[in-house]
Amino acid sequence: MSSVSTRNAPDILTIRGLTVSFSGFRAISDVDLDVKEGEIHVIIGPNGAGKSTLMDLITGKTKATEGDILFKGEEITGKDPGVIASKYHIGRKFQGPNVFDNMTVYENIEIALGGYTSIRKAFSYRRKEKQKKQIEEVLRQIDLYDQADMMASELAHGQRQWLEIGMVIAQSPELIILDEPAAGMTDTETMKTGQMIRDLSKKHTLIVIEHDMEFVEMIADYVTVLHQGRKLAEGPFSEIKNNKKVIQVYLKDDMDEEGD
Amino acid sequence: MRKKKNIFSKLPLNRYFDILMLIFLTAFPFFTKEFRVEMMGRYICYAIFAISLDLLWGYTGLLSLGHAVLFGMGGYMIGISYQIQNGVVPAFMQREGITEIPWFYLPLQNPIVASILGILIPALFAALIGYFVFTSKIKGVFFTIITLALAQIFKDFIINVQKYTNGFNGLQSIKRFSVNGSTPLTKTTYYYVVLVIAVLVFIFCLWLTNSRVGKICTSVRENEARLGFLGYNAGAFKILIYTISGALAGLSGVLYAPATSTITTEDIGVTASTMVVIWVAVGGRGNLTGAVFGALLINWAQSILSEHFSSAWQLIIGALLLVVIYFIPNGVIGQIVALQRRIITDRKKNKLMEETPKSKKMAVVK
Repeated sequence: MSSVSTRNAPDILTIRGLTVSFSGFRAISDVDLDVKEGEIHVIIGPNGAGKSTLMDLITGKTKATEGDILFKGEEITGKDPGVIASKYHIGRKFQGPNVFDNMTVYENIEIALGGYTSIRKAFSYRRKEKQKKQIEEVLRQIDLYDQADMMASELAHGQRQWLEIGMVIAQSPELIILDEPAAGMTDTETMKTGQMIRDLSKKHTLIVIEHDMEFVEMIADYVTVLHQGRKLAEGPFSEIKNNKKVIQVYLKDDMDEEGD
Repeated sequence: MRKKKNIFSKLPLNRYFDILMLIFLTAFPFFTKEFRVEMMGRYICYAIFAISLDLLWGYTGLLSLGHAVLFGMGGYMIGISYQIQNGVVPAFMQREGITEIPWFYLPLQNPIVASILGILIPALFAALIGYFVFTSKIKGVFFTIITLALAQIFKDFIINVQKYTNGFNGLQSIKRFSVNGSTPLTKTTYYYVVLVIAVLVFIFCLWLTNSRVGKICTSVRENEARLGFLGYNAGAFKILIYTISGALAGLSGVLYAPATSTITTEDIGVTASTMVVIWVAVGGRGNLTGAVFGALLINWAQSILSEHFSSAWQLIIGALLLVVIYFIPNGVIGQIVALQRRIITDRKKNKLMEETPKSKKMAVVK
């Protein structure tokens, strides 16, 4: 684990006192978070801890009630999703595959390709060698090169998850947010996804939301634990694993669930 | 992957169908009577109209139930033009006490200007409606409801300003593009003019839908929210495609009115808007061929049936629609395309399975 070295890097994302309430219910309550450049920052927590809501806030899907979100020191709180994606280069993979079903794998990646999102740029876009190479590289990274001509709807569940990861890569974002990337995958696919994420961290910073503890151990540089909308603990996985509060709240919950 | 060993094995079947239709339509005047040629010319105008809806509905997923408004705008522009040739005030205006051509009609005296306005005005109108609808929070089915309301309002408007539009009597004796009193084109010549324009429109739409802009529109249909998180402003693309669709619908109206020599409120209301939706639904959405085929097939069937079964033809058409929508929801051409796609994919999947080494295959199975 390279946790020690990445924690010295500058912040790519800084969150201070972030709060959001939906008709009185505080889904996120006074959360501080520092994501360092180049790290894989995993966010864990029991169901309803506010993990996905936190990601909605960062990507502009939900507007914060209070607090600040800074991307490289620049305020992005309350900006529109399109702006956050194209101007600040934050890419997000949603929970469960969220792709363009009746389009080919190749088209899915091509649409995601960053830098051609305005009408003018979209008209002047040509699929030249440079773009082809870019698309093919992404296809290899997510191991869907042979499936390029297939419709996204014809892929297996795991492959669809990878396709969405590929779409996020194609945006060439600096910060990538992955919401449960290994959900519903077989063991083999989960291993492959873990490797994919480690490879990605060479070029990008990643925030990953995850449930599966083995998977977290495999990828995490740094872990933040959320519980009932508040930050419960943070640190390298080895510390979190032995943190009494975490074990009590999170792992206990986990055991209860398994016991049901 | 991108190696094209045999380009024809990759080409969708409907593109062959396009070529067959073109050959058929080109040869059509040689083996039929003139009134049939005139009929088919009208249906080719309808085909352009159907293509314009296909861009919006089939490709972008925005169902308009008021598309005939844009068609009607085109038709009325050219229609008015032939009422006021040589500065003559038409009878229906004189009845209302108008002695001079209203200033806002003056530019329409030139049929060429009228044709251009017949394309521009519906395009601008679509852009305006698109702007209000797509930059607000209005989503999904509400666009459809708004367009439906528009169709009714526009028809009522045309009927109510009778002194300028001749109300529901409509406009008659629209010439096949006689400019400055020149002889109108013959029915057959006009048929070919319409056909050539239709082919150009088709090629333009083929290019557009395969361009990045077209693919972005398809992504709007597939998953608009996802597109937003990729950094796109989906609303801007929706306004754009609605504007283009409006221009083409206007063009089809401009061509249609001279082809039948009349335009009435029957051509612009809710009923007319519903008909074009049916043509596209039966032919198949989102592949252009279906729109053209649907428009030609249903209109032809309608006229043949009405000649033979003067009272029951609407029932027969209705039954046919139910059968098509129930058994082949993709439409006739859509079904063929889907079938071909499935065969190619199955073949590809089998090939990939064979290429996978045994050990890897075991792992996947596990």
